[in-house]
Amino acid sequence: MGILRIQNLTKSFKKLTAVSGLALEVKKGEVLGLMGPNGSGKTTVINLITGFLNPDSGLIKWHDEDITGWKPYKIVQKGIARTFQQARVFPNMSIFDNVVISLAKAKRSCLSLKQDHKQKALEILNWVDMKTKPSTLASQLPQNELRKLEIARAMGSDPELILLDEPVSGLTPEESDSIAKVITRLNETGVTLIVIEHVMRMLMKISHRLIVMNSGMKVCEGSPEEVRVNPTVIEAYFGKGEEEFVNFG
Amino acid sequence: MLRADSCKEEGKVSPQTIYVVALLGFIGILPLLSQDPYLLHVMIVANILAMFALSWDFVAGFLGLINFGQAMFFGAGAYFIGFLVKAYSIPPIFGMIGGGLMALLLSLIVGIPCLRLRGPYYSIATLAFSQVLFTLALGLTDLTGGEEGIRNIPKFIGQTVGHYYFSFLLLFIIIVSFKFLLRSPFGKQLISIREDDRLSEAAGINTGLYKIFGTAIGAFIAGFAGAYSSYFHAQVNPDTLSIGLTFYVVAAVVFGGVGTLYGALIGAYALTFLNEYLYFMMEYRLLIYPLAIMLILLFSPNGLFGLFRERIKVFGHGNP
Repeated sequence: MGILRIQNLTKSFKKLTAVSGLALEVKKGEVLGLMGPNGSGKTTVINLITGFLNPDSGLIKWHDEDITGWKPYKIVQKGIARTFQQARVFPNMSIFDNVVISLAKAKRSCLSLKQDHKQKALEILNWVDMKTKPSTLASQLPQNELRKLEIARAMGSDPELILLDEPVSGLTPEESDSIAKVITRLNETGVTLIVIEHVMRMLMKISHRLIVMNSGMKVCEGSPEEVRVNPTVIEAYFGKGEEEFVNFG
Repeated sequence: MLRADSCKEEGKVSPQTIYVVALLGFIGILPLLSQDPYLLHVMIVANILAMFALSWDFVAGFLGLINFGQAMFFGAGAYFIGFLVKAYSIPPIFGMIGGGLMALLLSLIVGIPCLRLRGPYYSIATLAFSQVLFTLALGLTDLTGGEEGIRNIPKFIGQTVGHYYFSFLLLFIIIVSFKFLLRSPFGKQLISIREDDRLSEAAGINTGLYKIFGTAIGAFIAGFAGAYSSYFHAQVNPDTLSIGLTFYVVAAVVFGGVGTLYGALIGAYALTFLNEYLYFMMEYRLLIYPLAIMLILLFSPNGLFGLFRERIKVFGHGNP
């Protein structure tokens, strides 16, 4: 039984159907890769799950509780966190404060920051291998550190599921490898992940299961090995022939 | 390895503290150095404006909500005292707290519909509410005294020097409270809403509720300042609810530097002194304000305080 179940999810923007009748299930502890060409509806799915968009129809169930159309903050409080396609941080706040504000426990003690909250924030920053001093303003961070800070901020709310929207977008191969290691380690701690990514090599490596979308619909689902050789995926996603696609693996 | 002490250097006397202590010392001895009651009067007026400016800066500069109706909260506190002293005799400090609470209540009534709006729509909606109250204050003559307002509010401190110290005490308490609040997790969450409210939601913050809390705190301080203003001036009139007063306080904060707290203080003092000491220029002084604001913003987009901060470099970056 999956922890997150989506049934018949549909979302349109005027005449454009971004997601159409999508059904998917996320199992506890897995890394689910969500792939598809640009405009296939991947980010819309993340926005729908996390409450940033309301679906036209369909059902989103989290541990059997219907969370469809809930406000984003309530969904975070339920244990689902996310990052964004364009790295999004609080630019005029320090790295430390970026993490502190997401700490679930710190929210409850709203007037004073306890020592264990500070410690927790620093532990998270160490855990994602943040190299920059915590007092540095987030706006001064390079792209790879911004991506780590986003993951750290998502971890602050102690989520059970994290949705990562193109976590290595705009990074060098070395930096991407470093983020991939963080994602794998995160999963090893028991956190379930949904990852959207264009870097196929990375997605194939870290995912236990893949879902391929095209024109708002699911066109394929399976292990990386199964998806790699699926002719529908090759045609829909790459359109350049199997040979080139297989080379990505 | 990241360490807790790399986040903040605690336990050291910062240059900022030295400046503040020196300033407090100067304030303490000023009435001994100058016997000029007019100067003390101007400083009290500046302190009241500074309290009001701090309330606007808290909401606009730290929460990111540009409220063009902040005078309605100042006026609510001011009129509360006017109505109260007609019927009851209560200790002034409770009157001022009551004025703050009245403004807070008003902020909930106004805020719940207005906070559904974003950006300029929010600003215009608050402006409209403020204008409604201004019109009511003018029109309900039996209750509010109309254009004349309510007069003969008893002064609870007889001498100007007493008000001088009392107003500084209130100002000091408000600044320290704001500093404390903005450094707390609650304050950081408010600031995060200014930075990116969608991202704040993604961090698990109920931004709607926090905006209501934040504007209520700002309204309480504005109402408190309005109530004190009524006691000090021994009267209240519809000017305390006017758009003109809101824009005056906005000008003070912009002149001093938005989102810094100290900027609100500096701006309030600068505009009050310009207003009082350029009085001989009559209406022409109204040309001086925009010119001064334009010049400051041209050379320092972060206001006068931004200019000081760049020179002195002791007040750190934007957030308190």
